[in-house]
Amino acid sequence: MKKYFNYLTVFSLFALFLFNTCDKIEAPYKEVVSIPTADTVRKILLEEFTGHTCTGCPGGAAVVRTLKNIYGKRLILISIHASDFAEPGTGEFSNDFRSTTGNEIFTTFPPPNFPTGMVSRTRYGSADFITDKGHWGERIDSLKNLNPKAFIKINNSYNSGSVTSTIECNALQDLQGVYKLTAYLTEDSLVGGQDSLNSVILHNYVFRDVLRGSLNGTWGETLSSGDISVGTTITKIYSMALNPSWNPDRCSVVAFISDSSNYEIIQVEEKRVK
Amino acid sequence: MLPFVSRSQGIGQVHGSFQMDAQYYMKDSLIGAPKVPEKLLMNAFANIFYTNGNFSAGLRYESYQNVMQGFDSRNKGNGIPYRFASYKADELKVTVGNFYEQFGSGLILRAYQDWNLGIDNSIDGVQLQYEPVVGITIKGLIGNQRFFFDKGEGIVRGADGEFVLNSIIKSWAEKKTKITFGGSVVSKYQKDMDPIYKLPENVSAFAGRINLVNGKINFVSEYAYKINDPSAVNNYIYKPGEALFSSATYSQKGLGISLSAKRIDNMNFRSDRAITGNALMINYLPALTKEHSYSLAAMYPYSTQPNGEIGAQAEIIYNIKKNTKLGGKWGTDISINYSRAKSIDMNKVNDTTAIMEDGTLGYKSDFFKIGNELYFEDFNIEIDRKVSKKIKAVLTYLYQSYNKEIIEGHKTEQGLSIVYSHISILDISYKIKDKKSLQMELQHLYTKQDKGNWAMAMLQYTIAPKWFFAIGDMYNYGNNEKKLQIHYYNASIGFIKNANRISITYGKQREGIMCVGGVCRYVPASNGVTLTILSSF
Repeated sequence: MKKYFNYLTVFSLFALFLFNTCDKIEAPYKEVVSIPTADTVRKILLEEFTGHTCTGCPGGAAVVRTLKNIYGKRLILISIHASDFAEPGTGEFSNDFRSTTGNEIFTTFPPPNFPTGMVSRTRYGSADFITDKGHWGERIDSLKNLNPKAFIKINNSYNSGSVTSTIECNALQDLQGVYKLTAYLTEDSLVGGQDSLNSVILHNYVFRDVLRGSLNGTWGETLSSGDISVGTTITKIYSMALNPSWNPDRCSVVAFISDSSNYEIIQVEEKRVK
Repeated sequence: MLPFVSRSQGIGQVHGSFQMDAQYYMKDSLIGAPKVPEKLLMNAFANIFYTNGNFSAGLRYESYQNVMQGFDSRNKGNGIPYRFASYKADELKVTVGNFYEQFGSGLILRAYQDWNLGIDNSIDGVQLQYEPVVGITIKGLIGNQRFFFDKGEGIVRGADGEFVLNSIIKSWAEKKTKITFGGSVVSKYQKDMDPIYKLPENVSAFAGRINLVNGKINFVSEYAYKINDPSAVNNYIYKPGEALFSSATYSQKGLGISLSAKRIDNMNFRSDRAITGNALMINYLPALTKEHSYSLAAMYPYSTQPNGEIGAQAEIIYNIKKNTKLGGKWGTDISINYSRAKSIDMNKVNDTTAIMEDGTLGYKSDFFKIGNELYFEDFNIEIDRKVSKKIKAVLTYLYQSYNKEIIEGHKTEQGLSIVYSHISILDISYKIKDKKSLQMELQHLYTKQDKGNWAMAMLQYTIAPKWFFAIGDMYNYGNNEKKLQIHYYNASIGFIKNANRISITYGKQREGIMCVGGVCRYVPASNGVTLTILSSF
């Protein structure tokens, strides 16, 4: 019997060792973070896939708002309404927030589930561009301290229902390879119905930063045919007619430079249309 | 260092298996089948295992060209995500590489693979199993879990001990009552890099179980507890989790009775707290619902709710003896099954905190109180009877309540949460000659919710053991929208020779979910030709 007791003791000690590998967290459970802001810093784009019949998506939107509160202007947001979850229904679900640009992004980077998103179109490990909402924060955190490779300045003018956007790109480092400039249009604070957990419909739900379209195509325009030397400034001008149902006071141009070899967005900027 | 002397027996044996599923997709906007740019998609794997005495090694090659619709798109390309080597030296078994494991009923650890669900949460690391004497088994493991063709960033550590008292205590060896108890601990480590929450980097879970066998009665019970584990699935709440699973069965010739119950409270456990879907799951929460194989009976299957549910199931299987008035000349089998799953009781932790609010304890729950929301209910009765020497019939009736909003995450097209359905099935097999048989299935599903009524008919002709031919049609004649009253027809041919099986199916697949053991995956609508090849050696 003694030897059985010894075996039990060995197992118990091993289990006790694992038992001790516990981190019990006491309230308050949230971090207090302060983020420095400067003009020439790397800004980060969070593209969130969502839809008004996706019950988990308000949870994703809440994470987006929390991250925006932490990172402020360093974090730029786009909500891509796509898939069956974004199909228009009836009544307060009759909104169609889908766009050709959004559908093309959705097809190229198919998310395995909703809500998910991309952080500056960087890969999660070697697996994929798409990350679950719980990884957005750490992805942003890991990118924010990298030295910016470029700087973007946007000037918008709005006339007769059209926006003309002058986008100035400055290379802060030598850029070798092919880099693209892409400009999207977003509309903020749209209102409609949103499904949420436990069979609850959120009436008059406010949809933030909804992707409406692109000023220069879903995949943008090549910045330069050759390498770009540090200090080089390239300016591009694009125009887009706004759909009459869009409110120009709530529209913004989001412009970003991406490395066409791996899609990574190296810099992003945002400016209101008006 | 442990010396290992190979006790080889000749050159050993090599075994393997292969499966390929390929589908040619055609766009069908009426049923919601999307345009697939590649037109043809394929999932395939090959297992190759070598054994020689106490030594074994193996690998699985997987290929996704590109991954088929309905499977996780993070399965990309080709690779060998599973390989291992294992040996047993006296009482100790050592495995390095990928391995599968289950502690108890899986409440705190189950690493397994299901090809049809697209699940593989194998652990890549070291696994030890020690059996010092008969009746005692101690297991230990450590490693990272598979994450498609990569590995999850969390580290999983675990230990399990199982003690068969009737083997350990000599005076109990001949006792009628057999008692086994076990205990396990699983811990995961994942670095906290989150800017929003203060996250526990080490999270442990514990479980204790007992198994009592006395003649015709078998009783199993396991309780598990997990410390604070905020995650994307539980909306980053810090409440500890717990689960209780109990099952009792009674069986004698011609009669089987089983009763089981479970309570799950915040027991999602993954090696990466940010991951959702069917990836990086450490544990398995058993389903307490019957798995149906008939198409319309499986139209609304239950998916276990890891954030909280209370469920119970009862089943009676009775054989009415042959040559009796009720049993007929060949006897009759009757099976009655009932299962029900509801929400758990949830109350605010204080006046200012909403239930499930992130960064809080989430909620309080009375262990013995059942919540108000019905998740799933299934009453079914099946009568299986041989009518004559050549004819066998199975008659089934089911009543199901299915909370689509909870299980699928969205309501029905009418904006309703629950689908109530009555399903009737008649399955008749007719033996034409020794090797030729005909099987006909007639199924009907009645519901006022979701997509309305369905009817289905299937006819299969089998020339054993090599050939089968089947045609079928599933007709959504009760859909409120006339244009969506669609026939989902299909036809298939299968050829089986020794260890090889080839089948080709042409037809339409309706959109839905498929579940195995309470774990589900979404199946999109499709229209096309499917080729399946299975082989083993």
